[in-house]
Amino acid sequence: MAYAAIADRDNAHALHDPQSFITKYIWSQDHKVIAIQYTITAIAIGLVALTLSVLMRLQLGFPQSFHLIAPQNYYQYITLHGMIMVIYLLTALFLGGFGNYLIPLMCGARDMVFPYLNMISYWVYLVAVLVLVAGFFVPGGATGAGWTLYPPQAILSGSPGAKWGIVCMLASLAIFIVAFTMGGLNYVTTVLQARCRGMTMMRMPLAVWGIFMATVLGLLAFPALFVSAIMMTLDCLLGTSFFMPAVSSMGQPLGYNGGSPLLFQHLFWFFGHPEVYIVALPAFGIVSDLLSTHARRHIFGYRMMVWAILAIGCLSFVVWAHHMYVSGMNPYFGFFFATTTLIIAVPTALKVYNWVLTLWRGDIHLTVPMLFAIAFIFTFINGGLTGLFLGNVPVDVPLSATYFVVAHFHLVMGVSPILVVFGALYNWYPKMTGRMLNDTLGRIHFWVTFIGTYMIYLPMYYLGILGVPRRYYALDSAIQFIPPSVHTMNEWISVSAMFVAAVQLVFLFNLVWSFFKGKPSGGNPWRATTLEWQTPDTPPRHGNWGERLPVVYRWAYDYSVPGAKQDFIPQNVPPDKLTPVGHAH
Amino acid sequence: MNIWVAFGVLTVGVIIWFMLIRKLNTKSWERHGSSVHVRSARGDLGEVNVPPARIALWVFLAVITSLFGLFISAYFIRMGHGHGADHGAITDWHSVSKPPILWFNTAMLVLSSVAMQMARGALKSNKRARVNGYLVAGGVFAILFIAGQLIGWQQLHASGYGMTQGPAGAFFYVLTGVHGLHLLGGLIVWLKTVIRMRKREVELIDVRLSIELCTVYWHYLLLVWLVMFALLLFT
Repeated sequence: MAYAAIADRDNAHALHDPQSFITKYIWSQDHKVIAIQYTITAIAIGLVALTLSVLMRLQLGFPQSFHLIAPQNYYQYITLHGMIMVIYLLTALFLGGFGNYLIPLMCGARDMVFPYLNMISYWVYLVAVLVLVAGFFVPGGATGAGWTLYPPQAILSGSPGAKWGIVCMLASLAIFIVAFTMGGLNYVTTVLQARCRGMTMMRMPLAVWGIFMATVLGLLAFPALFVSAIMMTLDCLLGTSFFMPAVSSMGQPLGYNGGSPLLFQHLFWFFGHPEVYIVALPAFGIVSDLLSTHARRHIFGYRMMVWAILAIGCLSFVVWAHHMYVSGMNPYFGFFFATTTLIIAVPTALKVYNWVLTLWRGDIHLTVPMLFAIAFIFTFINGGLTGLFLGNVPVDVPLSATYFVVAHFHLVMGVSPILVVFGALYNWYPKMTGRMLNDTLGRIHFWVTFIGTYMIYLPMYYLGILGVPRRYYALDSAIQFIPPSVHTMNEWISVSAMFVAAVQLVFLFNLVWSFFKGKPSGGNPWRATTLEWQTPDTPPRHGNWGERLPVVYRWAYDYSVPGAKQDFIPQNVPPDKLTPVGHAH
Repeated sequence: MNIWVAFGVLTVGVIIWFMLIRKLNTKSWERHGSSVHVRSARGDLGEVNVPPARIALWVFLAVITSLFGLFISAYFIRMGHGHGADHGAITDWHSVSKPPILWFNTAMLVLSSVAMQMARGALKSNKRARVNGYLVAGGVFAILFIAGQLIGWQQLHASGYGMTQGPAGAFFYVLTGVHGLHLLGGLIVWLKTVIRMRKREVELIDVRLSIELCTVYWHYLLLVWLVMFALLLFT
């Protein structure tokens, strides 16, 4: 076969090694450096969102104690917290961070196929983040329209930031989508075209499958957000009436006429629901790999898992209107979307069963990544089952405006993916830096986060069933049906949230401290099979594989193979190099 | 109607997605008869069946399909909303008079696409001057198209349809604007290719891929324009 990879040429290193500090770490085209740039930026902006949630909880737990937090501030915090967490933290971290780091390494490639485009993608993402943050400082402050930015209220003078804050938000989203599209083209093309010899699609680790499918979803769904952002910007700045109906503000009729706010909702959720899976599918994929590695057992039902990812991806485009049951839609329309919503539970449940069956009779090592992976299964089941409630129109309508929904979506698409992010960082940090994260600090971080999360969100289900409305700045005596116990419970939730937020500082400290003082990890501390652990150097050098590209002979899950000497066989070990038990070599 | 447009978009997306899935069993590292040796600025990617840039272009076309499909879907929903029989509202949708220059522009874009196709065809006969001529002609026609669109905007504006005089006019500006921006993006690649062609040391084979991909992109944008033009004419 006349295959001549760059690896097989003498000048491989000359082609790949950048020389100066700036080309190596700042304007870098190396996927690993770009991944770390994405990760650090996403975590930094995520800390802003975490701070905002702490401020919100201070207000909710102890109303009238913090005069700094005015009602308009509270709505700004809600809006920015939601938008940052969903898009600028989770999407960017899973696809820009883990996608960039893992795809080339797990597929056995030297880099992304378009490294320059990849670099631009990061810098455009950074611009998007800066424009978003600029929203805080423009006249009128950031937008307070809620993360869904529904018109008409998003651009009416009653909402905070209706003049410039909303424009910053929409501009930032549009810029983010441009950045994501550049990155996404890279991820898809790299997975399709740059796999090393032997790495068939059906031998790829599930982490790559999840990231790949999430990228495809993003490429098809983000245009919906782009369209709505453009049209709303025009409504806001030029006075068109795409979304704005004839409306009066403060007694004065505005110039709008005939626009359709519902159209915005359709466009937003046509993006918004796939977005849930853009965040969830990489988490599904990564957690599959974590469970398999740390339970020393092959993933149960690999092919089923791949098809489930594909089925979820496909179905996620036909469920969007279940976010709009309370918009007064045609009952048949609601029935259709309730049905598709319940159907999507089938492949999802299948994945949960397979994760549990992977653990069944496994040699479970309760390492920190494994703790987070198991916590993910718990949390995802808790959040997912309440999704079955909310997927049904008659149950959703009374619960829709309550804390039940807040608890549901936080557990299923906030906490669950974040637990995977933590697990994945503990798992791959040694490969990124060559050092282990501190185990004790990791366990403290895990237990406080895990238990604290339940102390926050389980009571919220209860509040929701009591009918406590979400989005309220304060529950004062005007709401007659709310018993005093609700206030006690809100204090409890707020105090728990402070603990969970504080323990993230332990994690940050661990990240920094271990970078300098952590225990050296060696190349493959978890004794894992996938290609990224088989690189000649740790952390991998530019070009990843040294002289020759790896060749893959097996799937990614050869753990505890009967008759093999070790309890794992890396993907690049040829069949004739296997050493059966009892042989010296 | 609106829901069917949404499903139309969905179907197109699924078809493209399915085409990607068909690659499930391919072995991208293996060489077939038609394989291409890929060189990039950073060195070799080795031999692959399909150049990565071609895959990336097709994926990008899927993204654009989603984008324009959603714009058109929004167009129909907004139009239906204005008619508002079931909302009890009085329609605010008034068709705008289409500037006649749009016909001229359409002809320019068709000629542009034809010229690009001729350039691509001339690649096979390896005649550099002809490739260059057709390529430049293709770009010039595209620039004329964009200039014509801007004149069309002016004419529409002069006849009293600004952004705020009803949704039909606003959609006209937005749809033509977004389409024009995509064509401008294509022209940047076209310009880079033309400049490279002027250098002596650049062989025809080096720009082959760029010209082929430009041609595909041009045909695609022509298709988008024809769909949009029909939409604007008949509503």
